[in-house]
Amino acid sequence: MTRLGRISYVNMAPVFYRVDADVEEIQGVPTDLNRCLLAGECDVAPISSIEYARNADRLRLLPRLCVASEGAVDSIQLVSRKPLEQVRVVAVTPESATSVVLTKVLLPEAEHVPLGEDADAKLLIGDAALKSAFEDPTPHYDLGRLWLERTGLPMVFAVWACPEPVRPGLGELEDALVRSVRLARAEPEKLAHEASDRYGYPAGFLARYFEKLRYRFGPRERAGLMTFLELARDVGELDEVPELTDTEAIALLESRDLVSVGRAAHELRNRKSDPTRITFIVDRNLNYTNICVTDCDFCAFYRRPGDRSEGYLLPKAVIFKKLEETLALGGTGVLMQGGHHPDLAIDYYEDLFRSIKARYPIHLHALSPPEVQHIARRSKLTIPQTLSRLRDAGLDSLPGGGGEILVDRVRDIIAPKKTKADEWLNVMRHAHRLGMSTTATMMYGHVETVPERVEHMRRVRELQDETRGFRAFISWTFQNDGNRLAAQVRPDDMPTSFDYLLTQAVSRIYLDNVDHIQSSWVTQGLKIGQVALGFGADDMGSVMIEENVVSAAGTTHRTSREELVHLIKSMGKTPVQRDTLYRDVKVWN
Amino acid sequence: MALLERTDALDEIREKVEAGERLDLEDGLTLMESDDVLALGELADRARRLRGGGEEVFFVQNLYLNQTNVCRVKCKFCAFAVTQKQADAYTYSGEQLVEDAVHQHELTAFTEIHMVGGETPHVSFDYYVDIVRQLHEALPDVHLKLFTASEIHHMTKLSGLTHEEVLRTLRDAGLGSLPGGGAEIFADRVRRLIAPGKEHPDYWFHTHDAAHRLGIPTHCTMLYGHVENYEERIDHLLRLREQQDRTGGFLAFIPLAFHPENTVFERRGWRHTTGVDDLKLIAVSRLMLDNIPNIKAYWIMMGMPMAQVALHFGANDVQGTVVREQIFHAAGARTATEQKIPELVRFVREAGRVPVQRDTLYNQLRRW
Ligand code: SF4
Ligand code: SF4
Repeated sequence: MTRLGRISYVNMAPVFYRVDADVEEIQGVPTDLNRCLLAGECDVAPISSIEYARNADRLRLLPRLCVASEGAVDSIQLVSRKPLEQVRVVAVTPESATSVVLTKVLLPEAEHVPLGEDADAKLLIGDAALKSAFEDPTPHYDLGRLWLERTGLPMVFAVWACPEPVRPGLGELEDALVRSVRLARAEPEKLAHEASDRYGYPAGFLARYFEKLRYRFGPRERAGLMTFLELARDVGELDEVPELTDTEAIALLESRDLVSVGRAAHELRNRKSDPTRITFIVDRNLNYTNICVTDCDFCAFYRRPGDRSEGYLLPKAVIFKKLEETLALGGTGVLMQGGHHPDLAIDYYEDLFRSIKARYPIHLHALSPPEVQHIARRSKLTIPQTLSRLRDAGLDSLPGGGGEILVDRVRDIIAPKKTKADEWLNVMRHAHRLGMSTTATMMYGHVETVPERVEHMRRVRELQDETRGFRAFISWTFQNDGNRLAAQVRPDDMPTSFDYLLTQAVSRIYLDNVDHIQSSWVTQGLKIGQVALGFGADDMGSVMIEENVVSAAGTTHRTSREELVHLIKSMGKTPVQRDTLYRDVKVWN
Repeated sequence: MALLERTDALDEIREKVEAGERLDLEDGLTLMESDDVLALGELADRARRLRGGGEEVFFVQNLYLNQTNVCRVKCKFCAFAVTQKQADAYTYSGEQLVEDAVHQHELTAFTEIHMVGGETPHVSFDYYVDIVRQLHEALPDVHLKLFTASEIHHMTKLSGLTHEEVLRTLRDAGLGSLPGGGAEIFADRVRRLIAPGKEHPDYWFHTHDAAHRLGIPTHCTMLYGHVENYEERIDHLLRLREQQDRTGGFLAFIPLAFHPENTVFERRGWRHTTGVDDLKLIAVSRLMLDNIPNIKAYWIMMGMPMAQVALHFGANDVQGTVVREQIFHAAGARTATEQKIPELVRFVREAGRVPVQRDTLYNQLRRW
């Protein structure tokens, strides 16, 4: 039999309304249940949000249940004669850890003392708070409402968790609890009456109270929880905010809840970078050669060595001219990528980079990991040797190209001769160690599965934890035209813009350690590219003066700086042209 | 630390929506001025569901025809109209239209013909009655959704009949419903700027009012993204809502974004509406038009990617699979002219909704 914890507060009534499962209930106040859960004396129990976060490594969350409110919750009240800004001492009860931390987050200046001691205000929770609101005429401040005013998000007071290792059959138990909530929602009067009999409040009062609570752990609740935990960390109440797990990310990607996931991502984006600004860069994509020995299925850009009619290697003079144009157009950087040319070894690049840097003040963002690996092999050097020589010649940072999906099963299908996942990450690791920052990319919507998309993001997040070298993450959908991979992707499986927006939003939520998310208007068009700025992205990428790789695959979206400025302004944001390292170049106020 | 975006301005409106109260002009402006387009989407979807909307997304299989491209009006935004003397001018006879329609019907089994055209002075009212009758006789099961209010008005001029008489005659010949075109933006200031040759908007309402009273359902539209301001947009929606209160005959509202290409506005450097503009308008229409059951994300205009996203911003109809379409394409809309059913079904499903093929009157024909 499953041992199911039950907090002895009335807010549990809808979850326990009709639990159609074989369980043994363990009743207690939150602190008791937290202890039971962590001691493994209980298989599933509600646990206060902060306690969960403090023990996240030993617990697993039920993905669909929480206790939250959007606005007033009634059962967590700060009772104060003084206006809140003047409160210096708060008396708190230790019964609910989350409410105590929430008080600290909302009133970071105030000192906490035990209940009963002299204080400007007291924190009441649960039934005591509900009763006091009836009986005590002193002003009551509802913490759920204060939280919404502060963040615009729901407040998650508790989540449901089980100790690791997880007992089998908990999925079914969760189903039963979700069904119970649903049934309770369908019969609000009956619920209120039964709860009234058990807890002794007027039924009408309870009916209104239950309406304020939310039990569904949806994307907005998740964003609310993450925000709460981040603020708790900021006031010193938590060492580390637990990351979104792979299971949760997969659940979000499989949900069709586009707007909620988008809003959650947007809230997090607003905490990571200035919500009033949208950045972009003016640079040039310079494809110095299209000769390549790697034969990726999704590539319509390359030509085989020996192709005299269409293969090219740009002469230095042409490259210089393009750089001069870039600078003349207000560009600050160049993105140089090309095929894996069998004749080009490190001396070619060293010479090219040196001569560029000797002439132009331009940021050299060049050579994706597969190219670096190709140069290393061709020159019989190690990756660190190759990178430090290139850096010494003037290479500033690496683009994240060639990331595709960082899972070898997928890479073996779409680009069997190209850099493997570990190799790609390894080039990035060494670049970061040498002080070169890079971006990370993902190209999806071909032969990968949803869990493989998440695995890709996990590999990026893990390396980022190690090196902190990724500035931005950019994802885009596979483009179908003129490449061999198209034949392997059924037209029915081609990614849609819905999928794009959802995936981008999840990447913002999942990659909590990456500062910037770029929307990909080049592949999605300017309309979706702009809409994507509400789905977690804070940057529109590049006004590109030349884009051969994507446009060879049939996507020919173009834009100008004026157009991006217009799109950003029309959303009520400040357009900011940045350089490759995200420093301001020009602000349109 | 960066401050979080606040959604307070929408709180009051949210409460009204939850309580099923009507939104007014002020609310409409607050919505239009909000930069939180996702909050608007969430609210619009909530309103749609509170009013009984479910998971269904409708589309219809229809054939677009234009009986003539000759037009005397010369609206400034129109890239379709020509004069009789121009080489590419055409006016199809009933026989030509029937031949084309019957042929297409064998290929696609469409259930609706959507036909509009220019206001040609070179035909008589009998021409219109004849083409309706001939199409109806050739394809009696096909719903005929024909002629904008401007064309009906034009027919009153040609015939000396009242709007009601014209409509009655057409109905008796086989007309099933009216499309919603010609509404543009009702505000006088805007009409003077973009369509000075067009009749006063009162005629548009008069025509739809008369149609509803005769039991002919109609559609309504708004052409946005040119010279109109937010207030004029909301005013337009409110006028439609009042009409619907009176006669209840609007089946659907279709917002149409203005395409500047090939019009005089292109030379003036006009821009397309942005993606956020389009989604916002879908959401605001849904919120304001509480008495019109269906809001269309017209994929021919928006493009399928935007139409798909719009399904989460209050839209519940994507219009349909289309055999031929000319007006918007002359003005440079960049979408494929044919959208096959399986693809449409996939886009709707991908958005987590249930695709339903409907007829013109929103009877369900097939559900996936
Ligand atoms: S994607 Fe790059 S490595 Fe692959 S074939 Fe194209 S140019 Fe070569
Ligand atoms: S929009 Fe209609 S009325 Fe105006 S010019 Fe074009 S065809 Fe004629």
